[in-house]
Amino acid sequence: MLNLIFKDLLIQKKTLGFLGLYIIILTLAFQSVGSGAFTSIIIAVTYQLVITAGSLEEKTGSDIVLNSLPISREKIVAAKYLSVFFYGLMAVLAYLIYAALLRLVPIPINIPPITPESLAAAFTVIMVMNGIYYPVYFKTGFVRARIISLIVFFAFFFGLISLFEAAGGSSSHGVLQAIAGFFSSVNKTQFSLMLIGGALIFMLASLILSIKLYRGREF
Amino acid sequence: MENILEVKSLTKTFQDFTLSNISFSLPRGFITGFIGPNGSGKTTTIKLIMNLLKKDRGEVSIFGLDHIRHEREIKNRIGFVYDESHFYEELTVERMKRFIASAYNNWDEEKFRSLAGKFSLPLNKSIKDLSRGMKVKFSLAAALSHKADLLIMDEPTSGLDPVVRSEILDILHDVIQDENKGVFFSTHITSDLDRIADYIIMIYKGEILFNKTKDELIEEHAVIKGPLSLLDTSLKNNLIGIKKGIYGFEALTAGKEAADALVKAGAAAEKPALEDIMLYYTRKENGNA
Repeated sequence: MLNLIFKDLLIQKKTLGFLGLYIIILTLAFQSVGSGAFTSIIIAVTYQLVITAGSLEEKTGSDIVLNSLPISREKIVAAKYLSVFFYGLMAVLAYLIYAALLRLVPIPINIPPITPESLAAAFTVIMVMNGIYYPVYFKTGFVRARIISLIVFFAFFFGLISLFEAAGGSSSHGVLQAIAGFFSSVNKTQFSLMLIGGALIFMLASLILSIKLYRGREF
Repeated sequence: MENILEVKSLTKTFQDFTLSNISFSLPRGFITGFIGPNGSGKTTTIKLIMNLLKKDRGEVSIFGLDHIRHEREIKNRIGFVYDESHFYEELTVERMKRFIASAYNNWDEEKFRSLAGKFSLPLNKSIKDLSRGMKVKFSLAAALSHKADLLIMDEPTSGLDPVVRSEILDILHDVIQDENKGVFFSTHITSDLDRIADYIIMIYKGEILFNKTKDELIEEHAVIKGPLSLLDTSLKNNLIGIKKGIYGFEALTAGKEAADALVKAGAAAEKPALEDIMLYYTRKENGNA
């Protein structure tokens, strides 16, 4: 299983090389988002890594090799789901490093700290996003799933940015303000745990569905 | 001794092609050539055997085991070489090898090193920078380095120069010295099989036309060349895939008696190559006698 995840990291060495630059650009771009910048960056970086891995596998038709080796289809699917957490953790680690480096630069940049709530929000979104993307990916392959992934990514990404802007008082949209108001009124720790728990259950259901779909896939 | 591979009534229907109820078996200790023109169903058959395509009907057993129920166990004992590499282009040969090795229970690193040396494989080069010949050699080295009992090869030599093809055929010849192993080799380049195959299975338009030993096949067929007048006699019924010219015809005939009768009537008979047999059977199926 770890070999499959490690292989996904190795094939996108170039993308990983640009991770730092990507994080710096996003940090500068999300100055107006406030505390939501960290969450948005983790979501964007994870999305980028998931998509790059899928596109490189599609390019080489590697499903044929994977399924000719003595590796079960269940393992292939499970490794993809687990890799999402790896990508998320890598993004957090990279953020910590580059945020520390940016703080050394003598220009006024807002670098939001990592809070348990923003971490929970980031992992909840990447689990839900990929929980929607992977069943389509395992059923139809990357080309069709990419469209779904793009729609889901932009919906979550911009939805979340708008929500954080509303929470920061820079949005006048009534519904967003109401949602932001709700979030600020609940117990943050309990709510974060509920979000993570719900997302994990969703991802587990998505994993079971993906395994079922991939078992019937033809190459 | 049980067959290394048995296919019974295997059927798969696509929108524009059907693999119809095919059955054949592979004995241990031999190289079986799987021939047929492009689009005949060779790759479909191999993909069904490897469970890369889902069969509609039929049975496939490898080493006496059902190919789906015992999939991992079977794939541990199969080496595969496909017409395209499908390896991760971004990885080096060494990295890709490590990934492949981790999937098998019986990886033999020493064997791989020896084959890599023999093939002059550049281990630190990216797969994307390898020539097609080198990619095939890498596939073959990987397929032979986990003590596989059955080698399944789909058009491995197409697009390769004669020197590389010859090297690959020599390796296959060495593999088969072990009587417990088997090789299933699909190709439309029949001259490769003239050299190394023991059995020949021909598939055309999704149906098996014959499954015989190569010697038997060559022994019982003859290429006949004769005057057009012979085609007006009942001897025409003995001919397969007639090709008419201005002055005469060429065709294939099956059976010694038929060939003798044609020779007596003034035709000339020649020993066929596998390519002749494939071509004339293809012509026959297309409606030329």
